[in-house]
Amino acid sequence: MRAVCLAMLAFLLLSCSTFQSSGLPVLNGLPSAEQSLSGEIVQSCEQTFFKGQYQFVHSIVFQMADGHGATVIGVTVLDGDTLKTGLMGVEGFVFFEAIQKKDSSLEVNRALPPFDDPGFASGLMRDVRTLFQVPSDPHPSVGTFADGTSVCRYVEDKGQTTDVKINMDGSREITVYDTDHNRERSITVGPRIPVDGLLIPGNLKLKAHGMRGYSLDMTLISAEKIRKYENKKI
Amino acid sequence: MMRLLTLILFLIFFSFPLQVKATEADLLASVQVDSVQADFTQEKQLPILVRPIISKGRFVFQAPDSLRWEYFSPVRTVLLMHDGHIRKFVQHGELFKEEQGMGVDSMQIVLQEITGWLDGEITDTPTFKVHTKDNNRIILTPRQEALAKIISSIELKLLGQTGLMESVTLNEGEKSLTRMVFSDGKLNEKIPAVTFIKP
Repeated sequence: MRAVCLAMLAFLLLSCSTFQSSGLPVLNGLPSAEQSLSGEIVQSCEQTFFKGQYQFVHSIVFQMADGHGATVIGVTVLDGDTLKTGLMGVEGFVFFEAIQKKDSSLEVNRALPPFDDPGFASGLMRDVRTLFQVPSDPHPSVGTFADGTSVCRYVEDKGQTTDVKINMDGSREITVYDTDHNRERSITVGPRIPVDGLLIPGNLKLKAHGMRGYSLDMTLISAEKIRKYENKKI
Repeated sequence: MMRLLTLILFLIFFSFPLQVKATEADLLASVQVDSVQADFTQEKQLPILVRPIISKGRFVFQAPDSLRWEYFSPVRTVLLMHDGHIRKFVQHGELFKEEQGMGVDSMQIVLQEITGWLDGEITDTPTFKVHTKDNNRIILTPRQEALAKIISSIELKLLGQTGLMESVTLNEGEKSLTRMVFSDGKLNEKIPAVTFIKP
C-alpha cells in the first residue's frame, strides 16, 4: 500500500510539474545552446497564419457535442485587417455572410437559421481569426513543452493565451486559453499542400471546448492570393 | 424558415420538369414528363468572392416523386427522394455517411407542394408568382415578404422547345446568385429504381 501511495504521489507531482492547476501547460525555456533559434521559431510559428489578401474555400463538417451536424461550404476572405466570411449549403444557398473590419465592427449581411443566433456571428469571426491570423502579441515567449516540441506563446492584452506548437511532421497545433487559463479552442493545422503556387494547410480541425462545444473539420477546396486589381471588384 | 429554404432548393431541381408543365399551354402541349436527367455545372457568386465557386453534378427525376440530386465536386453529396422518404449522404473518404438535420426532415413536408407543381399547378402556388418573360424564360418571384428578403427571383431558361431546361438562376441579392447550367439532358428514359435508393 505504501508503494502505491508513493507512486500516486509521484504521479501527482509529475502532473503538477507538467500542467499548472489552471490547465495552461508549463513552457520550458529554450536550452542556452538553442537561444539563438528563438527568432527562427517565432518566424516558423507565424508561418502558421496568413498575412495579406487571400480567398479560401473549405468544405466544413460541423458537429455539435450531441452528435448532430452538417456539411457546409465556407468562404474566408482575408483582406488586410478586414475579414469576410460566408457559409453556404453544398447546393449553394447562403446561410450566413458577414464582414468584420479592423476596428472589430461586424456587418452581418445575411444570417438564416440555424446561424442567426446573436452570438454566432461574433463567435464564428473569432474562430476564423484564430485559424488564419497571427495573435496580436508582438513579442511571444518561445520555449518547449515536455515532449520537446517548440512552442510560441502569445498573450493578448486582455489576458487570453494562444500557444502555437510546431510538430515534427510539419503540422501545427494552436491552443487558446481564456483569462482563467481554461482551454477554449484546440486547433490542428494539417501539413501544407501546394495550391496554385501557394503552400496552404490541406486540413484544419477546430474543437471548441465547454458546455456548448462543437467541432469543425475543414478540408481545403481552393485557395487564391488576391491581386490588387481583383480586390477592387469585391 | 428552414421549410422555406428547403422549398427553394426543391424548386431549383424540380424546375426541370416544372417548366414543361408551366409552359405547356404555349410551347409544349404534347410533352409528358415521365423522367428527366441531366448533368449540371453550378456557379456560385457572392459579393465577397473574388472568383465564383464552381460545382459539378447530376440529377435524375422519375415521376411522380423520385429524385437523385448528386454533386461530384467540390463536395461529393447525394440527396435521394423515393417513396416519400428523403435522405442526404455526404462522402467521407471512401464511404457515404448519412447526414441528419439541416432541413432534411422538413423536405418531406414540402413534398405535397412539389407534387402539386408537377401536376401543373405552378400558377396556384402560394409561394411564388410566375411570370413568363418570353417563350424561353420564366421568372418566379416570391409572394411573401419574408422570402423576398432572401430570394429576389428565380429565372428558368428553357432549351428551345425540347422540353429540357438550359439553366436555372437563383438570385439571392445584389451580386449574389446561384446559376445551374444543364447539359446532356435526357427526357423519358427508363431509370432503375436503385438510382433513387442507394448513394
